[in-house]
Amino acid sequence: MEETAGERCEPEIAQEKVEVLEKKNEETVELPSSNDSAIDHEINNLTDELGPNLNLAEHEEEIYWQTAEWKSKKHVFVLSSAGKPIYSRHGNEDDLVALFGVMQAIVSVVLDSDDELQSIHTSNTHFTFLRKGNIYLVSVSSIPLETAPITKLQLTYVYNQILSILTLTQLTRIFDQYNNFDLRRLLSGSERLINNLVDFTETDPAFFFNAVECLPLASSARDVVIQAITSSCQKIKNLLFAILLAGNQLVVLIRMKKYNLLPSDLHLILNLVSSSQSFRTAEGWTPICLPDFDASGYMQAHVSYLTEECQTCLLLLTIDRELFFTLSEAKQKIVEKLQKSNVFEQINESIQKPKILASEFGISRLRHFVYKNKNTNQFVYPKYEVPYLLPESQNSLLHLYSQLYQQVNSSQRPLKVIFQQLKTEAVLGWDTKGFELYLIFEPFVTKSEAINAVNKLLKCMKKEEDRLFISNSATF
Amino acid sequence: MQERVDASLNNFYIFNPTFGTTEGEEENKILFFHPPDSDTNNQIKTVGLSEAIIKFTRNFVSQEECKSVHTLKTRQYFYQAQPNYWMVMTVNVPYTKSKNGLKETVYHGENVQDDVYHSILKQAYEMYQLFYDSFQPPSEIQVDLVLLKEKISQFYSKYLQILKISNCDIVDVFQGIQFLPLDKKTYLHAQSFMNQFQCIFHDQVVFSALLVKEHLVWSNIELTDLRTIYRYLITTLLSSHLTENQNGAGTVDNSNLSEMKSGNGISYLNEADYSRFITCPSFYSNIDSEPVTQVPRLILRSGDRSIFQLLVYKVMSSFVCLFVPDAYELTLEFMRSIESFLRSKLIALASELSMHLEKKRFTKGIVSSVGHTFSYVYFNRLNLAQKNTLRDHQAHLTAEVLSMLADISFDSKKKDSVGETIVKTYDDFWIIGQFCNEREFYVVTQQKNSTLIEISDEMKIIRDKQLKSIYFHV
Amino acid sequence: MNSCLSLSENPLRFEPLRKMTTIFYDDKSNEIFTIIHTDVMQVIVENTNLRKKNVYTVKHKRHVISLKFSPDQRILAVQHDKNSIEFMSFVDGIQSSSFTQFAKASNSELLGFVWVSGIEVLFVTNVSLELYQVEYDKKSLKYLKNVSMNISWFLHLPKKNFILLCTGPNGIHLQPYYIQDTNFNKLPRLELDSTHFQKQGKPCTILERDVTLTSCYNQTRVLIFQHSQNGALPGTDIAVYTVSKNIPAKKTHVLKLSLCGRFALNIVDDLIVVHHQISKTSFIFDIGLVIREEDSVTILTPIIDAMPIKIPSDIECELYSPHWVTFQPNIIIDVGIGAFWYLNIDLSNFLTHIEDKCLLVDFLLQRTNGKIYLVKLLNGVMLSENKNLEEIAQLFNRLNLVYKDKLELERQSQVGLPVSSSITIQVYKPLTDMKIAFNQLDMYSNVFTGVADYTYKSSSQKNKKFFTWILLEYIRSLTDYNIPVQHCIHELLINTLVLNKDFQQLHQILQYHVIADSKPLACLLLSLENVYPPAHQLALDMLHRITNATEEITEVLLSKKLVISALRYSDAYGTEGEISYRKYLDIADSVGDPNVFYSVFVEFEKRDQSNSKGISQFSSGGRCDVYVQRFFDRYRKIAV
Repeated sequence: MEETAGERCEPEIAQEKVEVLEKKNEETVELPSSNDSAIDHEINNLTDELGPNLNLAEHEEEIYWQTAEWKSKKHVFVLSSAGKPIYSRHGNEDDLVALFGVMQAIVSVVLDSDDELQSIHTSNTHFTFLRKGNIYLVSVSSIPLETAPITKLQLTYVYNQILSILTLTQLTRIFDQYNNFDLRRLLSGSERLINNLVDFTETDPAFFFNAVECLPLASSARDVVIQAITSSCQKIKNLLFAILLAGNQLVVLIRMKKYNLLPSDLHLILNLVSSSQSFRTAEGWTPICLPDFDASGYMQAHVSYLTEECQTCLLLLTIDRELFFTLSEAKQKIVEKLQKSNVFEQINESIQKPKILASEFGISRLRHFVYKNKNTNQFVYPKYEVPYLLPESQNSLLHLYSQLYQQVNSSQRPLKVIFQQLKTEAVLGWDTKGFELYLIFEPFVTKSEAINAVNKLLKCMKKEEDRLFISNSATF
Repeated sequence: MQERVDASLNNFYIFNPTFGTTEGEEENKILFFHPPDSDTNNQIKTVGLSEAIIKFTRNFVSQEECKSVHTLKTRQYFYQAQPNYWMVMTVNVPYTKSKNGLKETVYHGENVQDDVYHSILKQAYEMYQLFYDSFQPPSEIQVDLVLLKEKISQFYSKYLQILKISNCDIVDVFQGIQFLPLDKKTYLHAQSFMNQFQCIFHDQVVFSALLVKEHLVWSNIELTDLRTIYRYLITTLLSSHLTENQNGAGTVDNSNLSEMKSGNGISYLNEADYSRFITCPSFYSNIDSEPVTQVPRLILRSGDRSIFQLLVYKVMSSFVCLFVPDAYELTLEFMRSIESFLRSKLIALASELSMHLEKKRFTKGIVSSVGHTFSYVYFNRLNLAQKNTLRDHQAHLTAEVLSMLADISFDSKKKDSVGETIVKTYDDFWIIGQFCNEREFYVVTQQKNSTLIEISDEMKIIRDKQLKSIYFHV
Repeated sequence: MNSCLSLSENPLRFEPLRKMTTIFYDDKSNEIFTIIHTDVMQVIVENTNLRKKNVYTVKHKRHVISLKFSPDQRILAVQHDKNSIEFMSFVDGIQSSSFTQFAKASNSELLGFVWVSGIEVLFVTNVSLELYQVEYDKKSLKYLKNVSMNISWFLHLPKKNFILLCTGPNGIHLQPYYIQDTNFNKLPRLELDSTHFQKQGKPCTILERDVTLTSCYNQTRVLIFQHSQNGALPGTDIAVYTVSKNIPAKKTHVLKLSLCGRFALNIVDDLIVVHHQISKTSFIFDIGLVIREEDSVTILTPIIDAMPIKIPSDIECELYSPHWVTFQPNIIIDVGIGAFWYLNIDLSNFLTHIEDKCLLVDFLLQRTNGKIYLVKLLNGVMLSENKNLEEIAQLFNRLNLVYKDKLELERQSQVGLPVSSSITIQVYKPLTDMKIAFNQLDMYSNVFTGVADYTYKSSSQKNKKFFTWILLEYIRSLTDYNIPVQHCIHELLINTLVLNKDFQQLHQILQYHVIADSKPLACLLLSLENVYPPAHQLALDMLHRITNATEEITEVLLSKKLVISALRYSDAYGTEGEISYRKYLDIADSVGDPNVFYSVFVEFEKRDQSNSKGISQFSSGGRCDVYVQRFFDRYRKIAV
């Protein structure tokens, strides 16, 4: 899977993919149209396929997808309703055709009885199924962290990533015409995006809290940046969003008045930026569809890094394909304005300075906390400190948080308060209209100490609010 | 207007994939299928799908067994009772349907919890084992399919009638035993009675148990067997006697008064009328008294898995259960000797025990000093002791709260059952689960504006009162 | 069946009855007087208890009706004739002085006299009772008091200064008196059963020889021979009248003999022994055996077949010889050969003879050396082939009923109530007045240990179970009588259950707190964990119930490597004493879970800093510095 280092992502790429599609049409082999009897037929030979003849080449040394090592990995498969493989996180899709066939058969049999297959569970492995129109997504995970709701969300992200590449309209059109179409041709080159996104959904707290982290910055500095961008883009019509990112942290988000960006879309943007290094060297002009914003069409994103010494990435999102040069000029103006003020130093200094530390609040027996502002979907995730220094302890902390978040935000049984005294820590989750607060304490904390910690922390958050969060009032 | 439909049984089938491997013989795989009237083709398809799913999961996790399949409308539970003998139960998920059909139905899959219903499926097999030992006939000769199917269908067609599917909760998983709280003196009276009985009938009666209503007082049955036997007694054999005067409060002999009314008018009440065998051989049951069930023959796993005949004798609200080895033939003389001993001794003890029951009945759900009502459930995994006020009518706990309880219990098991979990739900239910030394204690109360600390303090008072004589420290 | 009545070994021998000798026996001072009329009157006095013989010589020879020494042995009172008594004092055996006292009542006839106390003498005449006081120095009697009535005869119960007078015009009434520090307490007259004391509708005189005054089950009893009048079947029965302080003595028992002839009575170990001369056999009755309801007469038959007294091996004598005279309670004197015996009883036959074991237990409980036979009985019942748990249960109930009485009486006596205490404690009225109480220690050491060894060796499962049932039955019985069960019984039950691997039964009795909590028992349970896992939980519960067992509980938790729970428990219940951080950290470290070690270390570090008074355990060179260093390397060095 080598990297396709396209110099400039010219708009016409999208068209070209569509023509390719038409040409391909004639040569495709006539496929049996799907109807009831086929399904039964498929079931019967299904069991045979899975039987002994699955491992086709006996004599070869064990094939990679039978090794226990491969089996124990966390898998994500994407296939079409016709059983055609689209994506597999591990291993080459072609080798797994039989496996995809079985998955498709199982899903469609359940579909056939007017029901929707959601998941299959063994004692500690979960197989999650998600059907989105003609796209079937399957995840196989034995990570305790990934309970059913989490894997379902991960699959939705993968689907959104595919949509962000092809848009929903194009996807439905293709499958309406050729339900046996091999989508991999259209997705070639974007496997890396999907891989990175899957990694993101397994390790990044932003995914588990369905929120975005902001770069702590003095509000004055932030206003200067906003001012620079809005003034430079006044005249530009059809400019929907201007986003300035420092790594995965949001510096500034300016939006057209009546539009808003959900965390899920922002996560796709973060994934786009972090997956391609090309934007660092050259301005990018790439089509992107933000499914939760508008799944039917593309937006054009002008992506560029402001300056050499201030590695922040500016994205200007518009629905007008012709705006490349105007946006490029706007970006230059913004850079000039910012260079006059000393904002760059402040931004760089904040990037270098370690994030918030839980210990700086002087709350006894507090190990770590997460504060999420529910109105702006922004959250604070303090830097890992003692005792969460090693990856596996950080991972188990994340597992604890994700479980807490799931319990508090469960669809059927949402919670206002949860306090748990566990073996080696105590946790407190608190959900109100405006914010969610999760705290991890030493096991010997008393309940009154915990409550005091909450009050103290809220005061600090209020005090630091404008440094830590971006109010979503900035508009064009 | 919303109408909520509870969970219900969709289907229940038992199959063995090795019985019909060749084309056209698929039907042999199916050992039992409920509902019986579904056509064989559909049965084959359903079993086929289950088989496919089992094989599919084996692709990834060879040692782990497939346990459950979630779909939008159903939950399917798998249990490999014996190698290649698969039991599958499909439960229709509860859903709310809008009467006028405007809003589409909403399925509440989360209220059907895997661990709850998986244990219910396992219990179905355990009950089968109580009567037929196992699916596989002891001898390894070619399995006589017809006989096996006959045995299985005879048991499960009856069992599924009384199987409770809707709003099962944590108590169904505990499957605990309610011991009758007794002071030392009364307990010793019961113990002395049972010892004297065992002393006389030591060679004929191997195991025995003494119950008052659904409370166990004493038993020498191994715990593993006791758990299933207790459930069999409470849900099936004695259920008609237990519900008879469930709400009959008041005097001790109220139980037999109602019996009198239903029976032959109000005749002078002497002991003979309300002490009799509930199960005994046909030759012994006199015609005019209450109908008597045939002597059930049960298989106990403790000891060398031998078969026992179960005799149950009732006096007022006390039941004596006697397990006589199958080999011992129940003679008239033997039955008379048992009845004469029981009648002479049990009546005094039974009235003493029912006194305790009455006292206990009125110490139901607790009201805290500040006037809040609490329901609680306690379970000890080591001796299966269970106290439960969740299901009292005035507890009116929502399905969500009961599921929340089950969540807390299963979550704690993953974290070696130590410590405490307190949650407050959006409808202001506080649910507190505490775990210590193989024991679980839950309290539920609905309080609008109490703080976490107030609730925790009230909980401590309740726990110290209810569990004062055991080590339970969180 | 060999007899159970025997005469005491090497009896006291004295001069047999001859022409010129007369023999008297004073049952108050237990002395035998042999008077030899030679030229001078020689009086040989032999004390039957001390076996000391003294010889006194009296100057003049006069007829002697009766003679008694004063309780302090200084004065010998002799009645020579119907109206006076001579009081003599002696100096080393020779009469030194004497004075005579005549009955005060005019023309009265002296029936006899009794020393009432050291210096007081009671004269009983046919018309009066006269009480005098001896004044040694004046050598005379000082008259104190008298009561006049006509008396035909009288009987005297020495131990209790109790006098029974046959009064009324022709001796038809029996009037008891009770003399206490010089005044006469008149007790209500005996309510005689008219049917036996009337001839043609008129009360007839009561003959002295038909009446015996004695004490049985420490109540004064009047035993009266009733010769049946209705001729159908001739024979005599014995009516027993029980005297009590305030209500008139009523007939309480009738001993059926339906025999006639001469009888003699003895009381042995509270058993009424009736000797029948013609058949040379004795009958034994026990009036204590049946719980008597108020004012009803209990008819009793002999509790064992009549049997002769065993011939004594060490002396030639004729049984039931006419020379035999019986005195209360169990004295037999053969004046013919000059022998003084005590009548004894051997209980062993009763074991086999009385079928009803409960009756037998009641019987044995009232015998002085009943305990040995109770032990034999209990062992027999527990080791017998036909295992009758029901019967054993009843035996336990009977034993414990008496045991309860004894405990209650002891407790009552220890509770010294200040005289003026307002609270009126209900004076404990003992249900039974048994002689012995068969307490838990007797049961444990003499019965249970033996049966336990037998059961341990026996292979039969039923024997093993039977022994646990017995122990449980015993505990049930003690509990019913609210007697706290001693530790040895609990321990024996637990060990038996453990030996039989009957853990479920053990669990149930602990669950219902049948066995008292104790630390040794909790430790025993802990040791059972690998054989019966729930025992560990039971042990912790027990320790929790014992008040000051916090250290033990924390130790148990630490032994299970539950460091955090142990620390939490000792915080909540422990004393303020300094916890050894080092001990907890050693265990936390051995758990192998870094989170546990981290949590405990951080907690102690926090406590160590904030605790001002004690010496810091975390300072360098302190006991925990090996961990301080390790913590620094693992957590602090990287972060810095």
